Amino acid sequence: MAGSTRAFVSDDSTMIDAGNAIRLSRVTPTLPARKRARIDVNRIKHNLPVLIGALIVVSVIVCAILADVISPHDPTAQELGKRLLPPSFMAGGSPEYLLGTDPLGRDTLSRIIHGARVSLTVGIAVVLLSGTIGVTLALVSGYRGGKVDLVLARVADIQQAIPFLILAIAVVAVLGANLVNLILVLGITTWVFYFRVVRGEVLATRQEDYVEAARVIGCGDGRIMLRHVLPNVSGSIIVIATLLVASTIIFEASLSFLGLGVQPPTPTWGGMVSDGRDYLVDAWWVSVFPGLAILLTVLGINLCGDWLRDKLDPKLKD
Amino acid sequence: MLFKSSSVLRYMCLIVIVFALFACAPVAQPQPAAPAAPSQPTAAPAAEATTAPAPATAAPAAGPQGTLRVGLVTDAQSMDPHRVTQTAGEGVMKAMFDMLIERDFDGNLVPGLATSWTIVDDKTIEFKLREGVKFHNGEDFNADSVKFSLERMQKEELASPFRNNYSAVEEVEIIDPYTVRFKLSKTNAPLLDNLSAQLAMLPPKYTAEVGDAEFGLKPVGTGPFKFVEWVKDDHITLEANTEYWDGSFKGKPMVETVIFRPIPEASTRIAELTTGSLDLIQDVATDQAETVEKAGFKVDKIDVPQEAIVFFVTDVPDTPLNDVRVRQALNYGVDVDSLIQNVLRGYGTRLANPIGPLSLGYDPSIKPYPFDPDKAKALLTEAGYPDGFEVTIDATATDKTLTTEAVAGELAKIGVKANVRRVEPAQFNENWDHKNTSPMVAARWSGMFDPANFANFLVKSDGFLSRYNNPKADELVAKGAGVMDSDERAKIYGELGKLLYDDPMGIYLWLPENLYGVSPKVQGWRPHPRSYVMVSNTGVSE
Amino acid sequence: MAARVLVFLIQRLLLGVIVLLGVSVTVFALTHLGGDPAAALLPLNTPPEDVELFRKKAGLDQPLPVQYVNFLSHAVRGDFGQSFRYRQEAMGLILERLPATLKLAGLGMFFALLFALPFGIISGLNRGTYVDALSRVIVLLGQSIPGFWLAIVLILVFAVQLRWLPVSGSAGWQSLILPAIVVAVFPAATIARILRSSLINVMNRDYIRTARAKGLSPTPVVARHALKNAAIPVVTVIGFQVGVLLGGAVIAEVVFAYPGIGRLMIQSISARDVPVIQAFVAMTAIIVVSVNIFLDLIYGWLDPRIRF
Repeated sequence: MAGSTRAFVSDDSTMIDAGNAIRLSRVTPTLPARKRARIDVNRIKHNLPVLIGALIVVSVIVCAILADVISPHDPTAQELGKRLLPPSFMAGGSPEYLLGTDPLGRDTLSRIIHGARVSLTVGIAVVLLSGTIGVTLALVSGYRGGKVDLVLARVADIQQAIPFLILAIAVVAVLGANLVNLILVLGITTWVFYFRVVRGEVLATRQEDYVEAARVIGCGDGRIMLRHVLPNVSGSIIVIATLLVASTIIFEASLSFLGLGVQPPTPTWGGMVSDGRDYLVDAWWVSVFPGLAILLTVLGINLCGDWLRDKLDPKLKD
Repeated sequence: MLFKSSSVLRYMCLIVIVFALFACAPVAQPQPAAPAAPSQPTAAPAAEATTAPAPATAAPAAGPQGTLRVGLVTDAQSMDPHRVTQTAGEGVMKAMFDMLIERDFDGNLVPGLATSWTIVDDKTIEFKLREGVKFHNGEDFNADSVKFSLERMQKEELASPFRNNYSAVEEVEIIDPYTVRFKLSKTNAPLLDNLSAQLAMLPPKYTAEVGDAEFGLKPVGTGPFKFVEWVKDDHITLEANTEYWDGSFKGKPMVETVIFRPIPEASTRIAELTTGSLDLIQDVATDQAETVEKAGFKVDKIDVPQEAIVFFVTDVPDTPLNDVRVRQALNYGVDVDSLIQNVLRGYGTRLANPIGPLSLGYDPSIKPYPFDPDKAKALLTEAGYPDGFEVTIDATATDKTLTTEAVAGELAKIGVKANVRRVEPAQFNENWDHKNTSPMVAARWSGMFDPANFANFLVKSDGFLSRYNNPKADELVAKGAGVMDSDERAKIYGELGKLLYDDPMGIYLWLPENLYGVSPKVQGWRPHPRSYVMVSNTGVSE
Repeated sequence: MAARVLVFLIQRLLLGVIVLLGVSVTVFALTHLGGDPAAALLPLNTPPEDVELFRKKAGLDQPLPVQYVNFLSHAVRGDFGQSFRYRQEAMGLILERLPATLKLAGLGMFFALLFALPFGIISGLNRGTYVDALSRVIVLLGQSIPGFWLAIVLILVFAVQLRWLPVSGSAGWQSLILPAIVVAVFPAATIARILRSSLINVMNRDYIRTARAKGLSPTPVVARHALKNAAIPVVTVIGFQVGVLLGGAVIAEVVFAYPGIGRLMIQSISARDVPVIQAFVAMTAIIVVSVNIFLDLIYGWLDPRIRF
């Protein structure tokens, strides 16, 4: 595939390792699976990262869903008299506010718990939107080939030539900053990540015998794409998705910093880190704890993503 | 917020009308206590300059020494004073240029390059010019400079944002080299104030020679400092003008070099100050004042005539804000004193109505709405909103939205769920202009020395930014505009204030204080009520 | 060979031009996103009659395709109109500040590689060990710290506490270090991850196994075969990271008061200085495209399967 379809920005380029790994593995598709006997201890050790990752991700999701039930305070209730209280484990902290309070006397822990909602909503919505666009176009492009492919590949090049952070800043600035615009902009500018990887996958899968067979017995294109091609590329789709969720959370933080983030009083992790930056010297907890929330979540998602990749992509098993 | 941004609208509001000065004819010629030493203003410093590097000849302590490093919020858009519209850049302009009339540190109009001015009649002002003043390139300052500078401001090609401020001047008549008359097409009260804000005096020969664009990169003025270098978004360097004329309210340059550095991020600015890389910084957030003080630096503050108000859109029928009881309830429902104490850390003065403590017509007997959530809830119930309602407050994106968020947090307690919408400054102003805002708008309105513009733009029902509708208020505004006598005007605006208190046009918050971080090395510096950083008369000790 | 490289280069340049044409549509569309392009292109207080006049003069009353061609014919000459804020050519403003940003991005990329190569290689060659786990956690950290936050923490630690480096500005090479680190962190993490997984892949290939089986010691194997092959996806991803780097520069330039194009862009957004925003987006696209053409050449050298 290298020579024939390489575009100006190489077609098989991808921001993430999974795509490359897959691409490379395709170069030597008959990579023999390494077989190694493992004892149980090893197996647990092997799965420890994903257990941790899953634990984190599940807790975040639970927080998001049950935010109203589990958070000790209303995240927007301000008590100016209790502003900037340190965490309860520090001198001067109150047991009522486990992770301290912000400059308006709002409970940091409750805001982090509620922030999980927006951060996850943005992350997941963006991933679904860009995934739908990217994968659909990639399936069409890779499977149909020809002129359609040529045009779509160029469109992807164009999209990729404009740094997405920059395009998103420009568009949000023109359209206005709110949750919906944020999701739309990020969703529309990041489809290309899926497109690149999945298209390459589809090109390779198209040649596989079973796809040929399906065609021979008269399956329609749509059916072949959905039933035979899509499952084969799901591994890389999921990996990109997990990485994109993480990037989106960080990205929302950056936009908040530039004053283009989600509107208050909705607490978002990015917004909290950004607003707390003025207090780093005297009240570090205001921005450090939401920052840790971002970090742990990204870590958890990544650990799960790595594991999923290994599970879903038979070629990568070792 | 609103007019802190680069918008030109801001200047319409900074206008401080000075009818008072029109009333009493020849005005002001104070001789500021001249420095003891030179009896002939120009001779001594000139001699000093020629014998430049050896300070031993003159009194060694007298000459400017050292470097003053100033942290600004943004860069100047240009080095052309006829184009600069933000306070950060205006301070730099004030260092290099002088105006005919200046506004001093106490907010009074004082002589600048004009030693006096006389209202000859309704449509004529005569200026006597200061003699012996030279531009940095050696050109003489005289009547030609005044005529040239004013005509340049009016020139269409220059497209100065202040052009409209000078449209009333029909002609600049040169009586003799040091006397000029402005002939006006109509009475123009804000003119004197505008002259003090923007009409920097430029050297005609040099400016014509290099052209407008080049002038914006290599400026020449009469001010206490001369231009040296401008690296955009990085630094502006000025050097002392040792021949600066005597008698300016700005005082003499005390340092050899001034370096201005634009640093947008607040915490970076503070870090630069506390590590000793800057001596003076603009715009310290109230919340960070303590950090600055703890690090051993001084926080200077000044009241600025800028009113923080959350404006209501009252002219949309059948909305909660259309009901005066709701408007009152919202004022009862916000604990402004607690906000000033906790969010502004005490750096603010409570407002009872828009005719505040620095305004003409201020009535101290009108006390702010007390914080009374029960009363607020009762009023809401009476108005048919027992469970409150949901509303959006617009705020500018670049400003810290914390204060607006805090107001929203207070409103939540009386059942009003307020969402804060951040809008880019340019968009924010446009929305307002096009009556396209959310039902509530958080803004700071500048230029409240005289409430005339505020009343015309925002209170009068057909004012171009107005969302308020009260026929009685309209009457008062019209009355205020038609009177010249300042006492009578004060009475009218006092009445208007009472009316705006009873039928609120917004949630009245506070007059903020501008804070500056100052190194203990800095001597003699004073904040200016127009929020410029004035760098003359400021020394730096080692 | 030389002729082939030339043909390849011309081919890539042509593709680059096509891509930039596409980008120009996006840049053109930016003015129309907000509804009225005349409103977007004029300062806010422009009187309505002037707006009308401008509409006529700028051809905004003409059909969209005509407007686009008009826009393009100016854009190819670098003419994006005048900045409202500075009253100067928008592209001129960008070009003035471009060297500063290129310096920052260049050093950032250098730092990114400096960090990514050892981490990626060590991790990739020691898959599944504690070293690998540790390095992967560090890499993940790098991918999950918001740039502006890291920037402020770096200032507090290295400039305020330790006083090793200046807080901000652009005086001297020292002031470049902290912003370059901020810009480098995300790309570094991404490159390290890719390098790791591509190394793992390469090490599993038959010819490496063969080389090892033949008794060659691991080090030369890695050096001679594995690294060169593993570099292919890394080069590709660097092309991608140029954009990420430029995006990160926007943040770093604001926090560190660094006089580059990113800060200009942010200022232009608050003033809605659309010509400058357009010129900025166009310039970043040009940089990304040029870097990618260059990388394509390297790519061809690294991967023998790609024929010039």
